[in-house]
Amino acid sequence: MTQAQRKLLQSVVRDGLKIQNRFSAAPVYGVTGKGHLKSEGVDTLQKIKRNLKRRRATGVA
Amino acid sequence: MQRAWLELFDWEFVISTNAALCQPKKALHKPTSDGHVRARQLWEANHRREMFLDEAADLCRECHRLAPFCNFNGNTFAAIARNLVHSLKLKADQAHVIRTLLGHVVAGTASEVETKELSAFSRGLRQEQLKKHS
Repeated sequence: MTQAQRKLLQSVVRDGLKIQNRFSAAPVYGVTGKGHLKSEGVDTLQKIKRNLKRRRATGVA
Repeated sequence: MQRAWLELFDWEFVISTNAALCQPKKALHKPTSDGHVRARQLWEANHRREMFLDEAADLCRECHRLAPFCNFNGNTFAAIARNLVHSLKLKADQAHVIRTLLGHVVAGTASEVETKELSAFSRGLRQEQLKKHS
């Protein structure tokens, strides 16, 4: 594995672990043909929007 | 805009991702007897190909469905697809939406509307929206 791939792997695994609780470990999609993903709700998006708003406000001030 | 989105993600990379995701949960990281060979062949035949972003997501979805590993197939391929957003110049909220769409498509839970939305976004992407050195 190249240096770039190792760095990329760290980034992929970091995000993968963050969302791991939303996935079933077992191969549900392969067996049933129906995927499974727990909803993450709107909290993350709201947090991002709040941060963007704050950053914009700070930039103007 | 078409590009080789998954070029750096060779099969060894996919295996390493699955191993790392199984490890904290002490889940068995092992290839499956039926899906592994088919998924590897599909991946190796296509991952270096230039394609639209939604086609890259669809390749990840198809490999997820073939279940090459005993555990965390969805988690593995969704994490790979979601990472592709890092190479795009997007505002944080838009990046979040695209990451979410990619995750849903790969997980096999995307609605028809979500699939069309990702497809429209992918086909409307321009070279200027790519980050340098990505």
